[in-house]
Amino acid sequence: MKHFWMVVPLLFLSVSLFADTVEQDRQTMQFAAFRPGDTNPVTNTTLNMITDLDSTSNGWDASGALTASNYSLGFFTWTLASNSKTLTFTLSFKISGPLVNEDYASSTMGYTVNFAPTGAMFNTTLISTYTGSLASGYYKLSTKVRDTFTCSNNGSVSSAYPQTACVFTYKLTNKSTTTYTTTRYGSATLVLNSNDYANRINGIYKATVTVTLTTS
Amino acid sequence: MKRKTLVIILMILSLPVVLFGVVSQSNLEPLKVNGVLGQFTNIAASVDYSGAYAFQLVDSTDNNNNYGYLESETNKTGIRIGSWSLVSNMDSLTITISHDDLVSASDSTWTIPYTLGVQKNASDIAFDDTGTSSMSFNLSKPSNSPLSLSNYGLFVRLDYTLSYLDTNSYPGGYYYSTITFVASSS
Repeated sequence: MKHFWMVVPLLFLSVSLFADTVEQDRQTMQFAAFRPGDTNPVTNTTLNMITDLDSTSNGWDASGALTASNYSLGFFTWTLASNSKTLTFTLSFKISGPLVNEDYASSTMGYTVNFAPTGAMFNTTLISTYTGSLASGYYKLSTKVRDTFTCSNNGSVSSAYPQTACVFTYKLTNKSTTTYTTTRYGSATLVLNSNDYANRINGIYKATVTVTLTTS
Repeated sequence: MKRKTLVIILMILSLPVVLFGVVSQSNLEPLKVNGVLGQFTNIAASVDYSGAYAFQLVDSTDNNNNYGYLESETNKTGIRIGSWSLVSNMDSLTITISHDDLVSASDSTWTIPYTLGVQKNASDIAFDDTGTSSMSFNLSKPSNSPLSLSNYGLFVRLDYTLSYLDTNSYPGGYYYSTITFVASSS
Protein backbone atom coordinates (compact mmCIF):
# COMPACT_ATOMS: atom_id res chain seq x y z
CA MET A 1 0.00 0.00 0.00
CA LYS A 2 2.84 2.29 0.80
CA HIS A 3 4.38 1.63 -2.59
CA PHE A 4 1.12 2.40 -4.38
CA TRP A 5 1.32 6.08 -3.48
CA MET A 6 4.83 6.24 -4.85
CA VAL A 7 3.85 4.75 -8.19
CA VAL A 8 0.88 7.00 -8.94
CA PRO A 9 2.86 10.28 -9.16
CA LEU A 10 5.36 8.61 -11.45
CA LEU A 11 2.57 7.56 -13.79
CA PHE A 12 1.24 11.09 -13.97
CA LEU A 13 4.73 12.38 -14.68
CA SER A 14 5.13 10.04 -17.63
CA VAL A 15 1.77 11.00 -19.11
CA SER A 16 2.61 14.63 -18.72
CA LEU A 17 5.95 14.28 -20.48
CA PHE A 18 4.52 12.49 -23.50
CA ALA A 19 1.64 14.90 -23.78
CA ASP A 20 4.04 17.78 -24.14
CA THR A 21 5.77 16.37 -27.21
CA VAL A 22 4.27 18.17 -30.18
CA GLU A 23 4.86 17.25 -33.76
CA GLN A 24 5.95 20.36 -35.63
CA ASP A 25 6.33 19.11 -39.16
CA ARG A 26 6.47 15.90 -41.13
CA GLN A 27 7.85 15.04 -44.54
CA THR A 28 8.22 11.85 -46.57
CA MET A 29 10.55 11.04 -49.41
CA GLN A 30 10.59 8.01 -51.65
CA PHE A 31 13.64 6.88 -53.55
CA ALA A 32 14.17 4.09 -56.04
CA ALA A 33 16.86 1.57 -56.81
CA PHE A 34 16.98 -0.63 -59.86
CA ARG A 35 18.11 -4.19 -60.27
CA PRO A 36 18.76 -5.30 -63.84
CA GLY A 37 16.88 -8.45 -64.50
CA ASP A 38 14.07 -10.07 -66.33
CA THR A 39 11.47 -7.35 -66.17
CA ASN A 40 11.98 -6.68 -69.83
CA PRO A 41 14.55 -9.20 -70.92
CA VAL A 42 14.44 -8.56 -74.62
CA THR A 43 13.42 -5.22 -75.97
CA ASN A 44 14.43 -5.74 -79.55
CA THR A 45 15.55 -8.55 -81.77
CA THR A 46 16.21 -8.64 -85.45
CA LEU A 47 17.47 -11.46 -87.58
CA ASN A 48 18.58 -11.13 -91.14
CA MET A 49 19.84 -13.51 -93.73
CA ILE A 50 22.24 -11.62 -95.89
CA THR A 51 22.30 -14.18 -98.66
CA ASP A 52 20.45 -17.32 -99.51
CA LEU A 53 20.82 -20.06 -102.04
CA ASP A 54 19.36 -18.33 -105.04
CA SER A 55 20.16 -14.75 -104.24
CA THR A 56 23.11 -14.24 -106.54
CA SER A 57 22.36 -12.49 -109.76
CA ASN A 58 23.51 -15.33 -111.95
CA GLY A 59 22.64 -18.18 -109.68
CA TRP A 60 25.37 -20.26 -108.18
CA ASP A 61 27.52 -22.92 -109.65
CA ALA A 62 26.50 -26.17 -108.06
CA SER A 63 29.83 -27.72 -108.89
CA GLY A 64 31.34 -25.41 -106.35
CA ALA A 65 29.28 -27.08 -103.68
CA LEU A 66 30.52 -30.59 -104.13
CA THR A 67 32.25 -32.40 -101.36
CA ALA A 68 35.59 -30.96 -102.37
CA SER A 69 34.69 -27.64 -100.82
CA ASN A 70 31.91 -26.25 -98.78
CA TYR A 71 29.70 -23.74 -100.43
CA SER A 72 29.09 -20.76 -98.28
CA LEU A 73 25.52 -19.77 -97.77
CA GLY A 74 26.73 -16.46 -96.60
CA PHE A 75 26.27 -14.73 -93.33
CA PHE A 76 23.32 -14.04 -91.21
CA THR A 77 23.18 -11.51 -88.40
CA TRP A 78 21.08 -10.99 -85.38
CA THR A 79 20.74 -8.08 -83.06
CA LEU A 80 19.18 -7.94 -79.67
CA ALA A 81 18.73 -5.44 -76.90
CA SER A 82 18.14 -6.58 -73.37
CA ASN A 83 18.62 -5.65 -69.77
CA SER A 84 18.63 -9.22 -68.52
CA LYS A 85 21.51 -10.51 -66.48
CA THR A 86 21.15 -13.91 -68.06
CA LEU A 87 19.37 -14.53 -71.29
CA THR A 88 18.79 -17.77 -73.09
CA PHE A 89 17.58 -17.98 -76.63
CA THR A 90 17.79 -20.43 -79.44
CA LEU A 91 18.73 -20.22 -83.04
CA SER A 92 17.01 -22.89 -85.11
CA PHE A 93 18.10 -23.71 -88.62
CA LYS A 94 15.49 -25.34 -90.77
CA ILE A 95 15.90 -26.52 -94.33
CA SER A 96 12.91 -26.89 -96.62
CA GLY A 97 14.11 -30.03 -98.34
CA PRO A 98 16.43 -31.02 -101.16
CA LEU A 99 17.38 -28.59 -103.87
CA VAL A 100 14.67 -28.71 -106.49
CA ASN A 101 14.97 -27.82 -110.16
CA GLU A 102 12.60 -24.94 -110.65
CA ASP A 103 11.44 -26.31 -114.01
CA TYR A 104 11.51 -30.03 -113.20
CA ALA A 105 10.44 -30.70 -109.68
CA SER A 106 11.35 -34.34 -109.93
CA SER A 107 15.00 -33.47 -110.30
CA THR A 108 16.48 -32.86 -106.87
CA MET A 109 19.84 -32.80 -105.18
CA GLY A 110 20.54 -33.65 -101.60
CA TYR A 111 23.01 -31.71 -99.53
CA THR A 112 24.34 -31.23 -96.08
CA VAL A 113 24.23 -27.92 -94.34
CA ASN A 114 26.86 -27.30 -91.75
CA PHE A 115 25.92 -24.77 -89.21
CA ALA A 116 28.10 -25.84 -86.37
CA PRO A 117 28.97 -29.51 -86.49
CA THR A 118 31.72 -29.13 -83.95
CA GLY A 119 31.20 -25.65 -82.73
CA ALA A 120 34.09 -24.47 -84.81
CA MET A 121 32.16 -23.80 -87.96
CA PHE A 122 29.56 -21.69 -86.31
CA ASN A 123 31.24 -18.53 -85.45
CA THR A 124 30.21 -15.32 -83.88
CA THR A 125 31.91 -12.16 -83.05
CA LEU A 126 31.24 -8.49 -82.98
CA ILE A 127 31.03 -7.01 -86.40
CA SER A 128 31.82 -3.62 -85.13
CA THR A 129 35.03 -4.53 -83.41
CA TYR A 130 36.37 -7.71 -84.98
CA THR A 131 36.38 -8.68 -88.61
CA GLY A 132 39.32 -11.02 -88.84
CA SER A 133 39.29 -14.78 -88.82
CA LEU A 134 36.64 -16.22 -86.57
CA ALA A 135 37.11 -18.46 -83.62
CA SER A 136 34.85 -20.52 -81.46
CA GLY A 137 34.33 -20.33 -77.75
CA TYR A 138 32.72 -17.56 -75.86
CA TYR A 139 32.66 -14.00 -76.92
CA LYS A 140 32.75 -10.84 -74.96
CA LEU A 141 30.76 -7.83 -75.87
CA SER A 142 32.78 -6.01 -73.28
CA THR A 143 34.14 -6.93 -69.91
CA LYS A 144 30.54 -7.11 -68.79
CA VAL A 145 28.84 -9.30 -71.37
CA ARG A 146 29.74 -12.67 -72.75
CA ASP A 147 27.84 -15.45 -74.42
CA THR A 148 28.25 -19.10 -75.16
CA PHE A 149 26.76 -21.43 -77.71
CA THR A 150 25.90 -25.07 -77.66
CA CYS A 151 24.28 -27.06 -80.42
CA SER A 152 21.77 -29.52 -79.07
CA ASN A 153 20.85 -31.78 -81.97
CA ASN A 154 23.42 -31.40 -84.64
CA GLY A 155 23.57 -34.42 -86.94
CA SER A 156 20.31 -35.93 -85.78
CA VAL A 157 17.97 -34.61 -88.40
CA SER A 158 14.77 -36.43 -89.24
CA SER A 159 14.05 -37.99 -92.57
CA ALA A 160 11.06 -35.79 -93.23
CA TYR A 161 11.24 -32.24 -94.54
CA PRO A 162 11.48 -29.59 -93.47
CA GLN A 163 14.30 -30.59 -91.21
CA THR A 164 15.61 -28.74 -88.25
CA ALA A 165 19.29 -28.94 -88.82
CA CYS A 166 20.53 -27.58 -85.56
CA VAL A 167 19.26 -25.74 -82.54
CA PHE A 168 21.70 -23.52 -80.82
CA THR A 169 21.19 -22.58 -77.25
CA TYR A 170 22.60 -19.16 -76.82
CA LYS A 171 23.25 -18.16 -73.27
CA LEU A 172 24.27 -14.65 -72.55
CA THR A 173 25.63 -13.54 -69.24
CA ASN A 174 25.55 -9.87 -68.57
CA LYS A 175 27.35 -8.24 -65.72
CA SER A 176 26.55 -4.88 -67.06
CA THR A 177 24.17 -2.56 -65.35
CA THR A 178 22.11 -1.23 -68.16
CA THR A 179 20.36 -2.28 -71.29
CA TYR A 180 22.82 -3.48 -73.84
CA THR A 181 22.61 -4.01 -77.55
CA THR A 182 24.64 -6.61 -79.34
CA THR A 183 24.97 -7.61 -82.96
CA ARG A 184 26.30 -11.03 -83.82
CA TYR A 185 26.70 -12.95 -86.99
CA GLY A 186 27.35 -16.47 -88.10
CA SER A 187 27.92 -18.39 -91.29
CA ALA A 188 26.58 -21.56 -92.78
CA THR A 189 28.00 -23.75 -95.52
CA LEU A 190 26.49 -26.32 -97.84
CA VAL A 191 27.93 -29.51 -99.35
CA LEU A 192 26.18 -31.23 -102.21
CA ASN A 193 25.83 -34.98 -102.25
CA SER A 194 28.11 -35.92 -105.08
CA ASN A 195 25.96 -38.87 -106.11
CA ASP A 196 23.00 -36.56 -106.57
CA TYR A 197 25.00 -34.10 -108.60
CA ALA A 198 25.71 -36.52 -111.39
CA ASN A 199 23.23 -36.77 -114.24
CA ARG A 200 20.89 -34.11 -112.94
CA ILE A 201 18.93 -31.87 -115.29
CA ASN A 202 20.62 -28.57 -115.83
CA GLY A 203 18.90 -25.52 -114.49
CA ILE A 204 18.33 -23.54 -111.35
CA TYR A 205 17.86 -25.47 -108.14
CA LYS A 206 16.32 -23.92 -105.11
CA ALA A 207 15.90 -24.65 -101.46
CA THR A 208 15.07 -22.54 -98.46
CA VAL A 209 17.02 -22.28 -95.29
CA THR A 210 15.19 -20.64 -92.41
CA VAL A 211 16.87 -19.30 -89.36
CA THR A 212 14.62 -18.63 -86.40
CA LEU A 213 15.52 -16.74 -83.26
CA THR A 214 13.44 -17.30 -80.16
CA THR A 215 13.95 -16.17 -76.62
CA SER A 216 12.99 -17.77 -73.38
CA MET B 1 11.56 87.84 -70.98
CA LYS B 2 9.86 86.78 -67.83
CA ARG B 3 8.35 83.85 -69.68
CA LYS B 4 11.76 82.70 -70.96
CA THR B 5 13.22 82.88 -67.48
CA LEU B 6 10.31 80.91 -66.12
CA VAL B 7 10.77 78.18 -68.74
CA ILE B 8 14.48 77.89 -68.00
CA ILE B 9 13.81 77.65 -64.29
CA LEU B 10 11.22 74.95 -64.84
CA MET B 11 13.61 72.96 -67.02
CA ILE B 12 16.32 73.14 -64.39
CA LEU B 13 13.87 72.07 -61.72
CA SER B 14 12.66 69.11 -63.77
CA LEU B 15 16.18 67.75 -64.36
CA PRO B 16 16.52 66.04 -60.98
CA VAL B 17 13.11 64.48 -61.45
CA VAL B 18 14.24 62.91 -64.70
CA LEU B 19 17.49 61.73 -63.18
CA PHE B 20 15.85 60.26 -60.14
CA GLY B 21 13.26 58.70 -62.39
CA VAL B 22 15.97 56.83 -64.24
CA VAL B 23 17.66 55.82 -61.03
CA SER B 24 14.45 54.60 -59.50
CA GLN B 25 13.85 52.22 -62.40
CA SER B 26 16.87 50.19 -61.37
CA ASN B 27 15.26 49.56 -58.00
CA LEU B 28 11.92 48.29 -59.19
CA GLU B 29 12.42 44.94 -57.50
CA PRO B 30 10.78 45.32 -54.12
CA LEU B 31 12.53 44.28 -51.00
CA LYS B 32 10.69 41.30 -49.56
CA VAL B 33 10.45 41.16 -45.84
CA ASN B 34 9.23 37.90 -44.41
CA GLY B 35 8.00 37.71 -40.92
CA VAL B 36 7.17 34.67 -38.87
CA LEU B 37 4.49 34.95 -36.29
CA GLY B 38 4.86 32.37 -33.60
CA GLN B 39 6.69 29.08 -33.74
CA PHE B 40 7.64 27.77 -37.14
CA THR B 41 9.24 24.56 -38.37
CA ASN B 42 9.58 23.34 -41.92
CA ILE B 43 11.30 20.12 -42.90
CA ALA B 44 11.91 19.12 -46.51
CA ALA B 45 13.59 16.25 -48.32
CA SER B 46 14.25 15.39 -51.93
CA VAL B 47 16.20 12.93 -54.01
CA ASP B 48 19.28 14.28 -55.69
CA TYR B 49 19.59 11.93 -58.65
CA SER B 50 18.40 12.91 -62.07
CA GLY B 51 17.57 9.51 -63.53
CA ALA B 52 14.87 7.04 -62.61
CA TYR B 53 16.74 5.54 -59.70
CA ALA B 54 19.49 6.32 -57.24
CA PHE B 55 21.68 3.29 -57.82
CA GLN B 56 21.64 -0.19 -59.27
CA LEU B 57 21.47 -3.36 -57.26
CA VAL B 58 23.99 -5.37 -59.18
CA ASP B 59 27.35 -6.83 -58.41
CA SER B 60 29.16 -5.13 -61.23
CA THR B 61 32.61 -6.11 -62.37
CA ASP B 62 33.50 -2.47 -62.62
CA ASN B 63 32.49 -1.50 -59.15
CA ASN B 64 33.53 2.00 -58.53
CA ASN B 65 33.75 3.76 -55.23
CA ASN B 66 30.07 4.51 -55.25
CA TYR B 67 29.14 0.86 -55.37
CA GLY B 68 31.79 0.09 -52.85
CA TYR B 69 30.09 2.51 -50.54
CA LEU B 70 26.79 0.81 -51.20
CA GLU B 71 28.05 -2.47 -49.81
CA SER B 72 27.50 -3.41 -46.22
CA GLU B 73 30.86 -2.59 -44.72
CA THR B 74 30.19 -0.79 -41.50
CA ASN B 75 32.98 1.70 -42.04
CA LYS B 76 31.37 3.07 -45.16
CA THR B 77 29.12 6.08 -45.18
CA GLY B 78 26.86 4.74 -47.90
CA ILE B 79 25.92 6.09 -51.29
CA ARG B 80 24.24 9.49 -51.34
CA ILE B 81 20.66 9.39 -52.59
CA GLY B 82 19.16 12.69 -51.51
CA SER B 83 19.18 15.58 -49.10
CA TRP B 84 17.06 17.11 -46.41
CA SER B 85 16.62 20.64 -45.12
CA LEU B 86 15.17 22.18 -42.03
CA VAL B 87 14.21 25.66 -40.91
CA SER B 88 12.84 26.35 -37.46
CA ASN B 89 12.70 29.00 -34.82
CA MET B 90 12.05 26.50 -32.06
CA ASP B 91 14.63 26.45 -29.31
CA SER B 92 15.15 22.72 -29.73
CA LEU B 93 13.78 19.95 -31.88
CA THR B 94 13.84 16.19 -31.88
CA ILE B 95 14.28 14.80 -35.36
CA THR B 96 13.03 11.26 -35.88
CA ILE B 97 13.74 9.60 -39.19
CA SER B 98 12.42 6.17 -40.10
CA HIS B 99 12.15 4.13 -43.26
CA ASP B 100 10.97 0.82 -44.61
CA ASP B 101 13.12 -1.62 -46.54
CA LEU B 102 13.69 -1.41 -50.26
CA VAL B 103 10.71 -3.34 -51.63
CA SER B 104 10.48 -4.89 -55.07
CA ALA B 105 7.82 -3.18 -57.16
CA SER B 106 6.96 -6.44 -58.89
CA ASP B 107 6.81 -8.67 -55.82
CA SER B 108 6.62 -7.07 -52.39
CA THR B 109 7.81 -10.24 -50.67
CA TRP B 110 11.32 -9.38 -51.86
CA THR B 111 12.81 -6.78 -49.58
CA ILE B 112 16.29 -5.46 -49.04
CA PRO B 113 17.06 -3.93 -45.66
CA TYR B 114 19.45 -1.06 -45.54
CA THR B 115 21.05 1.33 -43.11
CA LEU B 116 20.26 4.99 -43.56
CA GLY B 117 22.84 7.65 -42.88
CA VAL B 118 21.64 11.19 -42.19
CA GLN B 119 23.91 14.19 -42.03
CA LYS B 120 22.91 16.08 -38.92
CA ASN B 121 25.53 18.83 -38.87
CA ALA B 122 28.51 19.96 -40.87
CA SER B 123 30.63 16.97 -39.99
CA ASP B 124 28.53 14.22 -38.38
CA ILE B 125 26.38 11.54 -39.93
CA ALA B 126 23.86 9.66 -37.82
CA PHE B 127 22.92 6.09 -38.68
CA ASP B 128 19.92 3.95 -37.86
CA ASP B 129 19.86 2.75 -34.31
CA THR B 130 21.20 -0.77 -34.06
CA GLY B 131 18.64 -3.34 -35.11
CA THR B 132 16.10 -0.77 -36.23
CA SER B 133 15.24 1.25 -39.29
CA SER B 134 14.97 4.53 -37.48
CA MET B 135 17.02 7.09 -35.62
CA SER B 136 16.42 10.10 -33.46
CA PHE B 137 18.59 13.07 -32.55
CA ASN B 138 18.19 16.54 -31.09
CA LEU B 139 18.95 19.87 -32.69
CA SER B 140 19.15 23.25 -30.94
CA LYS B 141 18.63 26.72 -32.32
CA PRO B 142 21.57 29.12 -32.31
CA SER B 143 21.15 31.99 -29.89
CA ASN B 144 20.56 34.79 -32.39
CA SER B 145 19.24 33.10 -35.51
CA PRO B 146 16.81 30.41 -36.60
CA LEU B 147 17.89 26.81 -36.90
CA SER B 148 18.67 26.28 -40.56
CA LEU B 149 20.01 23.17 -42.26
CA SER B 150 20.25 23.14 -46.03
CA ASN B 151 20.82 20.16 -48.35
CA TYR B 152 22.26 17.86 -45.75
CA GLY B 153 23.08 14.44 -47.17
CA LEU B 154 21.09 11.21 -47.01
CA PHE B 155 23.07 8.02 -47.51
CA VAL B 156 22.13 4.38 -48.07
CA ARG B 157 24.25 1.38 -47.17
CA LEU B 158 22.75 -2.02 -47.94
CA ASP B 159 22.61 -4.55 -45.14
CA TYR B 160 23.20 -7.27 -47.75
CA THR B 161 26.08 -7.53 -50.14
CA LEU B 162 25.29 -7.18 -53.80
CA SER B 163 26.51 -10.69 -54.48
CA TYR B 164 23.99 -11.92 -51.89
CA LEU B 165 21.22 -10.58 -54.11
CA ASP B 166 22.63 -12.54 -57.03
CA THR B 167 23.05 -15.71 -55.02
CA ASN B 168 19.46 -15.56 -53.83
CA SER B 169 18.03 -14.61 -57.24
CA TYR B 170 16.44 -11.36 -56.24
CA PRO B 171 14.08 -10.34 -59.04
CA GLY B 172 14.94 -7.55 -61.40
CA GLY B 173 13.12 -4.28 -61.60
CA TYR B 174 12.56 -1.30 -59.38
CA TYR B 175 12.82 -1.31 -55.60
CA TYR B 176 11.34 1.51 -53.58
CA SER B 177 11.70 2.77 -50.04
CA THR B 178 10.02 5.63 -48.24
CA ILE B 179 11.81 7.72 -45.65
CA THR B 180 9.74 9.66 -43.11
CA PHE B 181 11.05 12.75 -41.33
CA VAL B 182 9.32 14.06 -38.21
CA ALA B 183 10.34 17.15 -36.30
CA SER B 184 8.86 17.45 -32.82
CA SER B 185 9.40 19.56 -29.76
CA SER B 186 8.84 19.02 -26.10
